[in-house]
Amino acid sequence: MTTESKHSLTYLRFLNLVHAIKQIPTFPAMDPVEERLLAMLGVNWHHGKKVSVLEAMGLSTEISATTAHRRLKTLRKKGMIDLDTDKVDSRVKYVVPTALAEQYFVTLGQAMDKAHQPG
Amino acid sequence: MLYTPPGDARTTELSHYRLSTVAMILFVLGVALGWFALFELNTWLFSRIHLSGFISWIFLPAAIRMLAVMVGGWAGALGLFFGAILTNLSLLKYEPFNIVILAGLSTLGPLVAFNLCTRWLKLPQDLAGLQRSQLLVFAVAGAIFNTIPHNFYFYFTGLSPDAWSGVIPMFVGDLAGTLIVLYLASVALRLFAKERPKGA
Repeated sequence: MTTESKHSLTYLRFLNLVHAIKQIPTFPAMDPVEERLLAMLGVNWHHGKKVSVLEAMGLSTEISATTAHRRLKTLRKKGMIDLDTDKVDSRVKYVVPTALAEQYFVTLGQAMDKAHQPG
Repeated sequence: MLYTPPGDARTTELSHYRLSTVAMILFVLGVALGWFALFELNTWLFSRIHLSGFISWIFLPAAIRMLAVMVGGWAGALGLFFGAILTNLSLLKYEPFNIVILAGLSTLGPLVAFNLCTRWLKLPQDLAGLQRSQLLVFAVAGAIFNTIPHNFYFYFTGLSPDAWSGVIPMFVGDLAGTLIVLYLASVALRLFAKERPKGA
């Protein structure tokens, strides 16, 4: 019985360790539609434009408004975007980047720069 | 051939014992092979930033060292010992004493670090409630308790001209290697968790 308990402990340690490793922050996996939407939002943010949820839903002709709305929700869940309420009209909400999204763009930019370097 | 009726208490106990022993042997072998594989991968990937056969600015097997002891305790340490014997054989072919002592240092360092960290962080035996930030504490402690005895030994046996020149590279290598493997493991676990429902 002692041997059995010892092995249970090993398994519990393994589970707790896997749980802790899972908590290490990484960029969330995004599907191509989410990536496309985030990239289009990124272009607008770069130009200093405020993008409302309604505008974000119509950013691309390739993505339907319903799909865009769903992806905005999943991007928010993944911590890539946040919503800011307009100070004058509380019905209007703006899509804003989170620190994670900004880091995502920086990382992509660095990867592009590296790819451009010769050798 | 003896017939033992199903459900017999002794048979059940014996099969548990056998299964546990087999599991333990597999765990020890897995750790040893994991160490060896990561050591070879590390040599292949980072041979340019190796200071010596034992010291590199990135040392991926350090992660196995920490994880094996955290999960398996003494069994993990035993796996590390065999793994280190294997890798030391290729580096110190004709020095059996050094091979065994260095393998022992690779084993005892993480054990001491693990025991001190669990006490300091007040973690239970099953590591329940372990946080990602505490993993960093284990990684740092593992690197310290590996680096210092190794470098002293290198100095006293003439494998290194002094006791301090290898300390920083070895510490950085152990820490960087552990963090890289933990980060990759985290990414892999997320991908696995994401893909599993599709296959189910």
